[in-house]
Amino acid sequence: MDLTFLERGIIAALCIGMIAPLLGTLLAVRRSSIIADSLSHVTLTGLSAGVLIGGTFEFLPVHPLYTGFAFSLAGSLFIEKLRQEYASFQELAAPIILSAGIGLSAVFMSLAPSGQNEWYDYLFGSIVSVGEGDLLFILVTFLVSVVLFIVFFKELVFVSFDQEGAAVSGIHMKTINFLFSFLTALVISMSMKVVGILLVGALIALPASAALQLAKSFRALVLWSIIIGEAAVISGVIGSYHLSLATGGSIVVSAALILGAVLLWKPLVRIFSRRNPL
Amino acid sequence: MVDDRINTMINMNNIVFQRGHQTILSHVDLSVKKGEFLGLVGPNGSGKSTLIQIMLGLLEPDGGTVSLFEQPLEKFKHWERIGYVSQKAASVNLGFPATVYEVVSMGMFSKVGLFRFLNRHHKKKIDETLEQVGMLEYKHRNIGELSGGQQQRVFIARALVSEPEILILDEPTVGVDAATVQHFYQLLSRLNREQELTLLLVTHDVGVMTKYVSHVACLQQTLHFHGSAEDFEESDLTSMYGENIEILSHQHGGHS
Repeated sequence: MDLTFLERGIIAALCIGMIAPLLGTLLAVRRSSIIADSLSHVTLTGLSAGVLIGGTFEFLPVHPLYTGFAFSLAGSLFIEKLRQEYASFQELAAPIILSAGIGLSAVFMSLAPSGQNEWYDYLFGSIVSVGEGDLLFILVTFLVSVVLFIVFFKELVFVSFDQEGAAVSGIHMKTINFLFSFLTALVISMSMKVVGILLVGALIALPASAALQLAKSFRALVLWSIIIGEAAVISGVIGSYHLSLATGGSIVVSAALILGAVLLWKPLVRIFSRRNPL
Repeated sequence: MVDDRINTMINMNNIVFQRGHQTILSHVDLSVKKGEFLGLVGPNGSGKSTLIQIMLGLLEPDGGTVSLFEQPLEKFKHWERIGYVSQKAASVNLGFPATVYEVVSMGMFSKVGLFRFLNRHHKKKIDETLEQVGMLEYKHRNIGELSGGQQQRVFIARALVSEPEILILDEPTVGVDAATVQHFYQLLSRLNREQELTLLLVTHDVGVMTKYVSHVACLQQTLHFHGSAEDFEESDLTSMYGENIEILSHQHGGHS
């Protein structure tokens, strides 16, 4: 495929605009949106490890996105473990993983023979830096996650709504919890190039938060999240192009503006319409 | 696959459960036979919920065996044969934006299986079940907007929709007003008589329950009584709750 850097970037952004908010709805109702933030920092550890290994042993075919994904997956499994270990302090798992991840990244970065700009791209995203290999990675992970979401959607929703009920209905909890970790790791690593590690959590959490204000049913929640996610991505890309702003930041700022508008809109609707039960 | 000749739906043998050094359950044997409406009673903290969680494989016992439909728990696969309504609809996140229809449809998932979606037949069944518990008109309402009693009926519909042979309810009436509780027991009693649904009801509220159930089991760390509702005496309760308890409107069916 002969695509310009801009086309590659836009395709990648559209994929992420759909999948990150979709994951976000499930994480939000599971009350574990914070997991995405911790894991994104572990992904940075994986990335820096990948850059370090690739730079030191040039004969090894190491791509930082893949090592990022591997670390992210390992991190999510480790979080589950920590949550069991600190059963009464479950919220500790996220900061433990987050700080250890950042510390390790800093060490790897200082060892790696790489410039500031590359790190900056990973931290804040840069759609113009989406190469062909990156796009392939994003497309493959996008397809895998879409298929997983479709196949297991019923189970993912049930487990998010009611763990105990789901277990008694015969759903294999370990499988579904692993699937959650796997999907989170997948979505974070595919989003890295576009919105960056520091902003991926926002793209997961913001559209879902806005959708929660609007939706009465789960189906509506998912649809609104995706619509808001894509709206943020499209307006962010266009805005950043015309105003020469950082794309990842523009996307997240758009998402935040949409959330703000929704939060303002609701009380306005309530004032102007006499309470309507549906 | 489904064997209709099975008579013992649940059999728990010599169950022991400890939390730290504290013994929660000590050598409990409990069985539920087809067609029974068994009330499992006991004071708060007597281990009732623990026993149910062990029964359903949610907790691992320190000793003893469980079999469901005459199969060891570990091998049991037909979860659609068991409906479960947990202690608190509060174990679920009621801020979750789901409609009554969506909640009930979750109960259908174990029947539908992977890769498949709900078809017209499933959707009709969901409507019928909502009708049965009197919640059909609320089908498109958000679950969080309903009252506690209404939510409880939705969760019963969710448990019933897969057409289970036994329904297990753990303290279903906590936080529900007295009139609703009455309706609720009538609904259960009707399901038991008309649809031959086996019921296991866990409650700490002895009074009203004994009017409706066919069998009673009293639990306080171990089983103090297990038999038909007619044979159940107040003395069985005082031995368990202690002498000072007040038993409200404790009547067996017929006498009043």
